Amino acid sequence: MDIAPIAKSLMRNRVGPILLALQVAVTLGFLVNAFYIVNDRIEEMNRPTGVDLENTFRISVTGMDRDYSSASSLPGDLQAIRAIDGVHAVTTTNSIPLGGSGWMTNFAVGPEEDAHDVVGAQYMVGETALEAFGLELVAGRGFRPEEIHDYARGESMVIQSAILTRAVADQLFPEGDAVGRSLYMPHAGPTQIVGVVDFLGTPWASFGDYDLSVLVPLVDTGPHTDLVVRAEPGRLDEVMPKVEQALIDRDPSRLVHRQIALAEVASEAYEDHRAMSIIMVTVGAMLLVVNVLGIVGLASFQVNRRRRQIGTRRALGASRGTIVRHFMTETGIIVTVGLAAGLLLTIGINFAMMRLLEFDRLDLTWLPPAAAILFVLGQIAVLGPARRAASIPPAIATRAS
Amino acid sequence: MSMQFAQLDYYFRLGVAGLGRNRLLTGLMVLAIGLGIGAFMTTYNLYYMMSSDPIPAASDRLYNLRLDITPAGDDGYDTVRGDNLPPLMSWRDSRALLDAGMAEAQTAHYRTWVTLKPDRPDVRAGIELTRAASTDFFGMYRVPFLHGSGWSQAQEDNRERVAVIEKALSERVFGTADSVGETLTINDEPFRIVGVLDGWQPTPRFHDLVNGPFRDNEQLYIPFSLVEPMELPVSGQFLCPENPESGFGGMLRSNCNWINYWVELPDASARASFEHWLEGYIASEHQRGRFQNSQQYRLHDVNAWLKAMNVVGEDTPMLVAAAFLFLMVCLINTVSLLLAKFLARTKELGIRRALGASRGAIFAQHMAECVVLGMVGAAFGLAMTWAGLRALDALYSDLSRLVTLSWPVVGLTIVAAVGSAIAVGIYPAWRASRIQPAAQIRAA
Repeated sequence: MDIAPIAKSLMRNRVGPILLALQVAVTLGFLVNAFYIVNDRIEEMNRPTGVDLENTFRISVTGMDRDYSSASSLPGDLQAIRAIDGVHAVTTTNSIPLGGSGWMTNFAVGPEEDAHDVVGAQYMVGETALEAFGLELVAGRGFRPEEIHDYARGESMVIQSAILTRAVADQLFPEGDAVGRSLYMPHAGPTQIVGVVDFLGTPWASFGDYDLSVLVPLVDTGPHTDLVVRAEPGRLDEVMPKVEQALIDRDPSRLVHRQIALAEVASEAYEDHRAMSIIMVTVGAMLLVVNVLGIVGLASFQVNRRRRQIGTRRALGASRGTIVRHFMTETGIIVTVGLAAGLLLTIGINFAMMRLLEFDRLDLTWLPPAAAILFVLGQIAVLGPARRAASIPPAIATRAS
Repeated sequence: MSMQFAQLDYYFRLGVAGLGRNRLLTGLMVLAIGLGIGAFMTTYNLYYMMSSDPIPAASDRLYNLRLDITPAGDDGYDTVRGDNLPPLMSWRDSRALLDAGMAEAQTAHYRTWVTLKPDRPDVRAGIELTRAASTDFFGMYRVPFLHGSGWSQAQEDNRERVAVIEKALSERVFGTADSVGETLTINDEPFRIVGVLDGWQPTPRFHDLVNGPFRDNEQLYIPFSLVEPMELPVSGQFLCPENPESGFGGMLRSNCNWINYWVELPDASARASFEHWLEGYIASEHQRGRFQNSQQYRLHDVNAWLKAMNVVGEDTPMLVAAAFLFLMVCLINTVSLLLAKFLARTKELGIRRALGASRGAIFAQHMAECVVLGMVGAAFGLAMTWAGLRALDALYSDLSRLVTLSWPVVGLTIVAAVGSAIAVGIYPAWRASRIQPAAQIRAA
């Protein structure tokens, strides 16, 4: 198919095609940015937590009487929970991955102020934390019962040992010899590193170095206790009410509350990302529909205007295929011009965003797929009107208007 | 004059009749304008609500105050745009500033939690998020009372066990909205209710942005002077430049920050004299070894504070931009559709021109059609905006207060829809008005 004569004929009635090209250009600009945003969000949502999310839940116990102390009731609580059929493990903790609240602390390799350090999450947990969270130990060992210390109000904090995530270990001890070395936390330490776990996300979805976490054996004996319970695989729904009942039975004066599956916590943490992705995909889909309508509309308009001309060409021996290809080429040219303009527009928008909004980089990864989608969609959209054009009988040319 | 009105009326009737022809094209145009305007106004409404002034009566005289408490050489915090100071204040400074009382009014407050044991057997005991706030809180923030009032300075100073309660909680624990004078057991101590609020909820919640600008407010308020005797824990951001000593006393003595501190300064001279006093306070504390990093402080009025805390965030402007692009595509599409529609009338217009209709008359007739189109589009757009806001409400759990359609946005929606329809109609109407009369008569 000759492109030049078709392009030339397009230029004669150029307003419609120019508008369509403009539409395609803006759509391309949107799609490139939307693809980038959605992909980015989905990648973040799919990050692992390192925890057995599917089988684990959090439950809280709060003493309602002024003289309540969890120090005296906690051992019995843990024992009662462990005795429940279907419970795999239980631990106390101060926070959970993606839970939103936790302690952010400096972890350093030495006591001096300029010692190499990282900032990360400090998980304060009990001795069976690795089993309860479902963490994979890659070096060393877990905590021992005698290492667990209280940090009740009025007592000083003793941190006897620590377990690092691989990310913390790699940053602080790149030689790979973290276990057995000392870790320094502000106003504490030295603390002996006893183990390394593969992965444990911080409590904060938006924390840059998401897997910089350190576990320490501490328990809060204040009036409020958070427990993490891991059920045997597939038995979460059955175990949750049993644990609640067991805690209520042990002391009805306490409030047993805030039970939530860790998978649900993770899902809530990414609510904004999910919403943004859904909105971008919806608007993108609506834009494609509007584009298809525009293409169908313009092509139908052109076909109707040129009925006699098409009939004449058919009468002069042009095949149906030639007519179909004519319209497909015409749309192809318009969309391609639009895509070229869109490329310039996208680069322009991106450049402006980089300067105005401190956008980090010019990202055109998604340009080829977005352009391909628009081009193919354009060809499919024009097929209907083009086939209607091809079915115009040659006899129409001979009829008087 | 009356003739011109008649003329206008004629154009509009032609416009309505014109829209009635070729229903498919008309439908597509209404759809395009309605969807485009609906998407844009949905996101704009969100942006508008997020960036609105939560307390217009006093936003230029209420100031958030922060001090640079970070240790020497510390990088500080990156929570607030434009500085590295912590976003909250320490107990020590809050207490000292409250006691000095150098501003016209001042309040320190933070969110804590308490246990509630209602006296009625049918009401379950529970924990309740509560705000510990000093006396001026209610007056400074212009909090309207349904019953009673806040507590006095004397009650605050005497550490009286008094509380202000929200209507909803009052109804839950007392079975009535008017619970003034009733007793409520908080942390095992009897408190007397002195005032009832009717769902006070500034949006954004400027007085505690650090802990979520769109969260629900607490249902219970108790005096700030009870923090020490009752050892009220912090439920919210607790930022320590270094670890505190152990115990509640250690927390109070520390440089940890968890308190919102606001002052009311009615004019420039009040501000100048407060700042003069404050600089003196910081200098004297500096001599005692505090404020070694810098002796800086920051005062932000309400709207500046909303900006500094980036309440609108990054996602909302992105949504507005995306919806704007969508609107542009819809409008470009409408231009094509209008062009097709108007030029399909070539024969008829040629006849009207030949019968004496001026170019201006043809142009006006088509613009009138666009205005009618815009009004129908506006109605559809409003429906779409409403639906869009419902969709946002379903997607985000904490936006329920931001997805109500505000009146200014309703007005803007109508103006935007009609304005867009006029803007996209100009070129097609001009083209229609250029149709030559003679040629068409010949062809017909």
